[in-house]
Amino acid sequence: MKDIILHHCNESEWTWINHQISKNPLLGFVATPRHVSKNRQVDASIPIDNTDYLIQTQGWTLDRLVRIYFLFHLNSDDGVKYRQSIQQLFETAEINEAVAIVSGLALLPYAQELKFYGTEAVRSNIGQVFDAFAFNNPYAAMYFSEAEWNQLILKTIFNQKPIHLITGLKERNNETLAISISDFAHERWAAGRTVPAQVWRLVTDFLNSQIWEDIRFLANSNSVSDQKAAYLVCQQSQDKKATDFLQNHTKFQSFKNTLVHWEQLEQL
Amino acid sequence: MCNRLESEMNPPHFTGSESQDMEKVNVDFMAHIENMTFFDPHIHMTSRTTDDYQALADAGIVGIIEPAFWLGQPRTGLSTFKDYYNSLIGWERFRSSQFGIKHYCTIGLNSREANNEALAEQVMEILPLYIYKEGVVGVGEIGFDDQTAAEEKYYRLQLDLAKEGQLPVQVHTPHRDKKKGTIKSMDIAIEQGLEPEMVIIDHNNEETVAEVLDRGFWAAFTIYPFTKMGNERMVEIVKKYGSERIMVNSAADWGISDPLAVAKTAALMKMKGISISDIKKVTYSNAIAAFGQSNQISFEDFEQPVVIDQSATYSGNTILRGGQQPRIDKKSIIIE
Repeated sequence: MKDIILHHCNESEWTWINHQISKNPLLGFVATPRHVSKNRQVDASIPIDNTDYLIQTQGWTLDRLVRIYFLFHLNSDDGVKYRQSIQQLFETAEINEAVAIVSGLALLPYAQELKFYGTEAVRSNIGQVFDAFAFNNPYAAMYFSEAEWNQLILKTIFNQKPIHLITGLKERNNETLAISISDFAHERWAAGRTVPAQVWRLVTDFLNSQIWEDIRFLANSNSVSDQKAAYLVCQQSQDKKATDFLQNHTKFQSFKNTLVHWEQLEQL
Repeated sequence: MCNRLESEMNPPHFTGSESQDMEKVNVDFMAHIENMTFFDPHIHMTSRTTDDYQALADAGIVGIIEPAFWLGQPRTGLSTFKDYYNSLIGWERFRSSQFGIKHYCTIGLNSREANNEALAEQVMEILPLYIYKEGVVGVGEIGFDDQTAAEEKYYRLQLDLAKEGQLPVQVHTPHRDKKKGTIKSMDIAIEQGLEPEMVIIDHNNEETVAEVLDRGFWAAFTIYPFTKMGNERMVEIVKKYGSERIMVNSAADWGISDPLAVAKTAALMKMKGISISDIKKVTYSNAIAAFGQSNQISFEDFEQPVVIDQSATYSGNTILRGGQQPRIDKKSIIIE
């Protein structure tokens, strides 16, 4: 993180950051945009120690990264005091401060004990705060329980946001979530509304009778995106009824000589 | 046809001498302000609905300042102050951004609640946490209500805070005993060592404006039905005093007020022959210049309206792109 900041900072910014770290990093966190660029973009990947996870910073401006750097440098000798500092900053945070805190959770000391701020971000109605936690951020994949994870995914779908930007989508997928997605789709259909086609990638390994009905429904729909989603589920499923259906369904014939993949369905 | 309609729509007290008024009440004010943009430096959006945000955006209001004030009834604890300040720098700013309107705020302990000294002491302790936040363009709205000793004490303390933070001050002037209260507010600001150009004196009227301008302060006028300025009077003020250091706001809140007051006043000024450059100063640029002294707001914020934010990277997503809210057809009985 230090190297990335150094690379993007000018000399006066770097001097201020170091001065503030030794003086008062808490205040440094708050005052960052007054001393560090809030326009300069930072495009980098920050590895999380001892894991394969990365935080990707595309779309970030320098002030966000520097704020996380300050959080990292708060005195962490005493876990209780450290968490109190984070709590104080979060409770009085304006939008960009809240965004910085939830973006950087996975990098911080006592990361696991800071989970409350992750679940709060999922509850947030402020789009930027939700997005900063949900997308290109490994914290949820690393620390969320299954119920918390499922809530994140369902809320992303409900808010018509793109699930493919969530880190750990494959590893953390589970049957409870697949059933919830099917139930959600039924509600949407009953209301005469639609569901983004890419969400069906999450049901591939869990084709119970209700979900299988959904897949057949999609396969027979007039939406090419929904047909493609059904095709991809059948293609990637190990289930025999799906592989048989893949061979025989007439609406799938046109897909067989073309390249069909989930990325095509990621645009909402 | 036209004449018949006109006579039907105009109530009798407009007939007779003031024929100009007859035209004006029924006029489509939006037609007079096409392609103009406005800035309302005083509006309490926490008390308004999303419909008002939509109306503000439609009328060309591109930026607003929400001063911290009282909520119609007194707060009973510190936490409600904190939550209120949080909403000004958080939720309300987001709500506003959904309609493409830039939201700024001023933070302070209002004069009424300064009279609860035990609570006021606690509020003073947390204020420094908030005044350095991004988008906080001043300390406000502070000043006098009943003109009590407690009000004066916390007014002075907050002027010190503004001076320390190099922030402009938005001064609320009292409804009762207004002229004396306005003069006292300016005297105290000078005594505490503030430069007049860092102080915006709000809610002026014909009786206060001359002295405020003479002493080098900014003079804000609130166009608010029944209790504050009407916009016809405002037109006369601009005719008489010009456009230097004068700004117009709506102070729309939970009372009977009009969030479109700035846009309507601009339209009326145009109809009454005030120059476009003067209109622009009093309904847009003077406010940005005054509060721009905080370095938290600048003309560039509005000249480059496309903000590069995280949401721009999620192409193809309607919710995230530009954050604009979908429109509903209010006239339709069908709700989809």
